[in-house]
Amino acid sequence: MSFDFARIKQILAECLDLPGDARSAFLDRACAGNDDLRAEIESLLAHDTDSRPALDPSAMQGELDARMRHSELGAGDSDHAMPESIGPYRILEVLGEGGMGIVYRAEQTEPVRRPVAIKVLKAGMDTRSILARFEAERQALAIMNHPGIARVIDAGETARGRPYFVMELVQGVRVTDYCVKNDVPVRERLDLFIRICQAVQHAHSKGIIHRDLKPSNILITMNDGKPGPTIIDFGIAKAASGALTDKTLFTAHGQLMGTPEYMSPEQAEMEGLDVDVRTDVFSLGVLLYELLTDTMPIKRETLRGGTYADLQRILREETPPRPSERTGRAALKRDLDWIVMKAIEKDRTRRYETPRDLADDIRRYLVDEPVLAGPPSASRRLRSFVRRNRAALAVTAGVVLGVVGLVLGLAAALHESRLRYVETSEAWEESRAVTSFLAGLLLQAHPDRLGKNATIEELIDHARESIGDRFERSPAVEAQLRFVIGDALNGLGDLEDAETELRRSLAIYQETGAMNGEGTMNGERAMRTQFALAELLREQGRNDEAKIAYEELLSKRIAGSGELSLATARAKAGLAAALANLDRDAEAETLMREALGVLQNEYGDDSLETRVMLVNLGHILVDRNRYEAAESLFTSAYEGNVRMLGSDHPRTLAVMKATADLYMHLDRQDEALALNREVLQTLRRVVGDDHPRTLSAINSMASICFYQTSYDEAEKLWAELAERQNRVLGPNHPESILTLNNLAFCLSGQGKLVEALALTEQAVAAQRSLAGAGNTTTIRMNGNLGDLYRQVGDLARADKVLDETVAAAQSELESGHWILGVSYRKRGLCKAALGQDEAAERDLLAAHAIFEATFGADHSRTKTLCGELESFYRTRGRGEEAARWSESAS
Amino acid sequence: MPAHDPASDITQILLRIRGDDPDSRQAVDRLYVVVYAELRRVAGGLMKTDRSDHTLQPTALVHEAYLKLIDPKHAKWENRAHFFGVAAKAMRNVLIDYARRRTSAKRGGGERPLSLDDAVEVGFVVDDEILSLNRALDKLATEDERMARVVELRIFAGLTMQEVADALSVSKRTADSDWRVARLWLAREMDEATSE
Repeated sequence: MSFDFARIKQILAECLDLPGDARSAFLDRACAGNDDLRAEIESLLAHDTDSRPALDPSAMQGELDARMRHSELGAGDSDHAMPESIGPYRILEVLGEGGMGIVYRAEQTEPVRRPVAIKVLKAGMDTRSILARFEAERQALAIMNHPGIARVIDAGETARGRPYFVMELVQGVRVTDYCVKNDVPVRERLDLFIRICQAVQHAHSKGIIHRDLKPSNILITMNDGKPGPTIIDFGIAKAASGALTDKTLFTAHGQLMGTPEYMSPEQAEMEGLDVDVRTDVFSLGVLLYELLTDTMPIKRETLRGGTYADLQRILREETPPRPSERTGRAALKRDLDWIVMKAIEKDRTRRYETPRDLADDIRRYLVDEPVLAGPPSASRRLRSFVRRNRAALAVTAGVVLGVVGLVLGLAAALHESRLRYVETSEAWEESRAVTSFLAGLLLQAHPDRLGKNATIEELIDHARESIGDRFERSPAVEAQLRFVIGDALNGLGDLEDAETELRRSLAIYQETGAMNGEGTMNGERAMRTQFALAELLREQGRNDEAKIAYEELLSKRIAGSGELSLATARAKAGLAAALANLDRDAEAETLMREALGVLQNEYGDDSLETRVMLVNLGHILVDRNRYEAAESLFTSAYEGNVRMLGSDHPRTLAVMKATADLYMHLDRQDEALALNREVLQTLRRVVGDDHPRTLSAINSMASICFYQTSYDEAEKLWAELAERQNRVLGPNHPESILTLNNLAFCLSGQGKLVEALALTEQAVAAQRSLAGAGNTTTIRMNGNLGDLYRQVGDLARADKVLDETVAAAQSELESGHWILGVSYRKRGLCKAALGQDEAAERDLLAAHAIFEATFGADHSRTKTLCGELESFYRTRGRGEEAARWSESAS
Repeated sequence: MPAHDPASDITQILLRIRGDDPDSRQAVDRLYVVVYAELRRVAGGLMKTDRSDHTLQPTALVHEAYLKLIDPKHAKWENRAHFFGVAAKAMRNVLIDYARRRTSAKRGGGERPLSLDDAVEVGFVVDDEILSLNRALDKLATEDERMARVVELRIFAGLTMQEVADALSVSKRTADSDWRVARLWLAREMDEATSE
């Protein structure tokens, strides 16, 4: 139709309001000069609507009535409608029926005879968008290729025009039923579970989130007498990658979405746009819980009893008992408890990030290595708290017990797993030794012994002393314990002692020859210790030593498992990072690329670890001035993280921050600003306004604004930051004080001197009481204060403060220090204002000598000072000298 | 979630239908599945009471399903509008699907023989007519989405013109004029399709 439909509609509507004989005249006017339009309208008017029953509401309602009376709507049509065959497939029975489709068991007759499952879109479901979803489900399944995922074989349309697709028929039993019926031991259950994680991971790597993982969708089949899991029904799977998003899938299966027992809190909130791979991690966690305890974390009745709002609240708030509490089985304690609880964390940022991470931790548990999961909150809170307040930390005994639990729980888990799985007499001896060691240590942690305010350092010290020589006969245990303690010390920020412990552990491994036993349990532990030591050295900036440690490790890895193993790749990546820090960027790049190649080959481009390495390579490229390549790495890592982890995830934000820094480097300030702004907004939303990371982002943002001379915004941000830090950290925290100073500086730059003065007075007082008058920051702030007094005309005070400042700088700093120069300059300006010309001249010239030596003649600070000297001489009628300084100033 | 109160589920879904983002579209699909199932259930329940003289008023059916599915505490007019829109689509599909099946059976393409019930049932409106309307209505939706929805609500959900206007939040006058113009347009479209 070539006409403006709205116009036709309007004329036609008016025309229909008129009696028949008036219409022609109306159309003459309305369509004047447009014969085609008139012809179109007359053609429409010529059609008789009354002879069309389909356009008669009452006739159509009668029709519907007739249909419904004859079972179309009134009865289930599943058995009734079961066809004999669909395409070349002979239909045998109905396997299941959901809201959107019916699944039949069928038999393929050619080219081979085999059982299949056919999913057919149900009658009445062929709305356009449901068709699109059905098609997307088929596509999603088709792009996956994994033994643990049911495969799509064929697709087509039935004779009635309904789309269908054919899947491999999985004839198995629910994983939970299988385990219960066959009384499968825990270790085998964990093995099965790891394989389930791998299959889910495969789907994720193809950008597909299952969203309805539960035992009835995870079937165990026997292949060659061995059980293997297959995941079926990606019915409500959601494509995580961009290409499929507009065809996002959904089948209701008679249910609205996931199944309450296995549904993550965020999925229950129904903010569907926000669900990512971690929702599957949650469901897997519930499954693991069930496999370990044969019960659900939250009882079925609790979840299904109430309204939907109740369900959401329970999922959001109710913390289930740990598996060991539920069963009373001590064997589940510690590691397994923690692994499960980490997987079913309410807050997905605390969950495992991927099914692979979850599987890896279980694997670690199975080989007696320390796992990543820890007791849900105490240790985490404590660790960051300790990092912040390490200087003088005294905590109550209750909290201390938490830390000891963290450190030694790892050892206890080692003990338990040994008890269960490696019941040799030697292992038994070792276990007993560990147990009595732990018991002694925990007794010491009792408030009566070490006192209520025992510090963490005291307790750990005690642990280290207690090791003594009691493990003389089992050096492997001592080595492992020292590694665990070293690792914990590292986490607590005590790097020096951490190093000592790691080195002792390593020494024992070396003595016992474990270092060369790659592949054996102790060999692996030894390598792990070596790796931890190398990382620790690198963190401390001791890159030369780190390099040596990585190199040793690398040569052992290459000898043990070859160039292309993952372990070798990780060692290479570490070495690359150390080399990059040593400015040996070319070698770093080569190694990092080799490591990356192995990871990409093993995990594909979309794995978390691959992306972390891509970002590290990006950092190296930045150092090598290859900004474009770095930017493209950051961009793809960013996109991958958004897709797999969501845009709120800390790793995503870290990549954004790296990109923003790159932009600052390239002087693309606007883009840097925009990215920083986004990071800040996300942090505010996700971790809250008062979180340390948010606070630090506010500060970066304010600094950028300040450099961009957006003083207004910088001021606003610093003012906000000052208020928050004051509340969160207290007014005497170094960062709070620094912010006050920055805010004051920003205010004075805008000429708001009085406000700036008040804040600076406050900052100086706090800084002096915190760090003393001789502290360089105190000196600098005091100088700012004096300068502000001068600017507001309070010269007497200015003079006094600046005399103090210079005196402190002279006594605390070496003679050519730039801060001393700054202090001279400020006092010189004050003396000049006071008319003490001689003193002023002396100070200004002294300042200039220092500036020129430390900053150089061309630095803006030096030039500004030259200008000040010029005006000093000119106002005093000393034109010749003024002219000379004027030259230096330009 | 079978054991849940369907009213609160539906209300949750309705709360998510806002604009034309993918999430909303997905929510509409969910709503459709639930409404369709509920309509079948309600109709099935009425059938079992075995009152052969009873005429199932589709309009009454839709209203009954509405009362069952919507939590009155949250029943804003938007919810009502979405619900009726979806119910109309469900009804439309019931008819279309049935007509398709019968025509394909007649042409010998059926996947199963006609049951006796099917054979004796003679509708008021012939199947080809319904299928033809279906195609024309799809085409109208691409020209003027609102007009197509007026027709759907009026014909398939059996709403009165006032109810149609309310559901679409337009004036009754606008709805009336949409309806009349749409009927002419559809009639011409269907005539042309038949003569081709």
